[in-house]
Amino acid sequence: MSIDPNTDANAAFQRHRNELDITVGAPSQRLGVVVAMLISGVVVAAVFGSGAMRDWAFELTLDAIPGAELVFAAADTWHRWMDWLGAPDVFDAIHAWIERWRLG
Amino acid sequence: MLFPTLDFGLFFLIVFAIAWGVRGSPTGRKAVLIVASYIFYGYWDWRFCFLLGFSSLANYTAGLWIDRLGDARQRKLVLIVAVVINLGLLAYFKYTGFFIESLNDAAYSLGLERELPFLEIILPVGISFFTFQGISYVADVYRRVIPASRSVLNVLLYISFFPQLVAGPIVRAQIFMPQIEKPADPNRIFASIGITLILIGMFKKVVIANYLATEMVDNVFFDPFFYGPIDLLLAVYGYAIQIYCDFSAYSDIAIGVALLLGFRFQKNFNQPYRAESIQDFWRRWHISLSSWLRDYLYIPLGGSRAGPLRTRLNLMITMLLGGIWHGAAWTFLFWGFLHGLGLVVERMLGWGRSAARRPVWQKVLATVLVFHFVCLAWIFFRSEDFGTALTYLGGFANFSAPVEFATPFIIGLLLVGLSFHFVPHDTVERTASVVRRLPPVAQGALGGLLLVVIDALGPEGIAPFIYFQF
Repeated sequence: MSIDPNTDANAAFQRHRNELDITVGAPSQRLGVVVAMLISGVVVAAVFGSGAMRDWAFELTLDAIPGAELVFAAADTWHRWMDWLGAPDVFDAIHAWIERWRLG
Repeated sequence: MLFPTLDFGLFFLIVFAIAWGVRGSPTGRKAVLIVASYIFYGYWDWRFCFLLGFSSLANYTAGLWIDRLGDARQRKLVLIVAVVINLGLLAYFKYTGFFIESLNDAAYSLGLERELPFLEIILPVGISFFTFQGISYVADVYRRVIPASRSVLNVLLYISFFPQLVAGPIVRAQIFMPQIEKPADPNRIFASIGITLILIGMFKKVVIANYLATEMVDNVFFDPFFYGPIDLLLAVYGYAIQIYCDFSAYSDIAIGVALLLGFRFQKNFNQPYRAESIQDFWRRWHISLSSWLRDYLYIPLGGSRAGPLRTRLNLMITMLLGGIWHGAAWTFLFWGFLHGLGLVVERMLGWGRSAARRPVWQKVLATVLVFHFVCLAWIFFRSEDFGTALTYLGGFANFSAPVEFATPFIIGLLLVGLSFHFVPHDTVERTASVVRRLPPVAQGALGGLLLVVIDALGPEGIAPFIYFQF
């Protein structure tokens, strides 16, 4: 049988096209809803992940940039507030749990 | 810029805000996404942004040229030139060192002492992926599957779009181009499924892949001589799970990020370790590459329609090239050869065709056999060289070595990693549907909390994704 590489290759792709589309029948949202989701996600992550945020800020190579001290100071202040609330304890407790498991 | 980092998180939030902010201007939106993509790429090495730009412009010009020509021979000639340019870039950056080293080795074994100078060429991250996307674009224009894009922005964005730029999935022009040309729809964002994919991807990479690599796989593959059969078996299972969790995580996060920006990519993995044949494995593993190889190499070579001998040869050529695509080393070529051999033997015995009619016990047995065949091939894929791979295989007879890695932690990681293959195939979609019943703020809060939990569960630091080196 002769083969037409153009039409045959495209037919092969089209046969499986819908099977690979993860959004077929999936629910979608409006932009405003997505923005609300992202803002709440960022706030929760910033509260419980304040330690990681502070570490990240201090690892930044911002020394040459004017105002870098403000970034460090803001990250540190935020972490101290969260520390006072006890939020980073969640992170520490989870980390300690997996370390205990890992080390047997 | 790695996906599971705060750098990328901030970068994404800024891009998301600006890209949706300028949604009223399709050209502005494209420009924002192109600039973001070049910043993302330049984060590794800004010099390669010029390479990315050159590749995009070459493919854009070739597409326009092919579209304007009426003569079939001229069209084909331009296609060939475009493919040669694409593959030439890939060959220079990826394979020059390998060819020189292999030639020097061959010359040395023949008693010739004069050596070709070794060139230290830095491999631009993602070159294998964007080269294949470029070829896909010009080939589809040549086949008249898509019209050539008049807008240079469309091609620049198609080749450089940051979620899939450095490690895939290899997105087809016929999937992506129509999405660029349509205005972004702010009423139809697949956010629940996108965020679910991002979180699953983060878990797979940060927790499973990273721990397996640092706790066991890297140590054993560095020097397999010191380990016995149990540890060697666990380490190759570990690598099988690690590479799946690493690479599919990248794809999951890329697909999720693209969904949040209003673009749809196709699935790249579909529970590959539950495959019942090698052919089935390649329909589930790195689907965007395997389907690319099928449509742009195997079928143009004649596919399965040119007689049994030619079919076997075509399969072998396709898998050998698929192997060398992964990396410039004989071990990758041999990995491709093993898979090619598996496909040829399977076809000769007719195993692939009868899979659906098998009783359950045979299906289970087939899945176990295929998994172990794939693991055998992974040993060559992961090993530094043939010598290390052969030492690894020889170690299965070293019964005197103590067992080191059969700990509840390692076994637990392996089981969790494997479990992704034996849940219903639409688990992500179902999870997203359940999550979507929560109020939006609660969905986001849950996502933020899970992100912190994943970060807390993972080891210190994030290793680069395995497929960055390809």
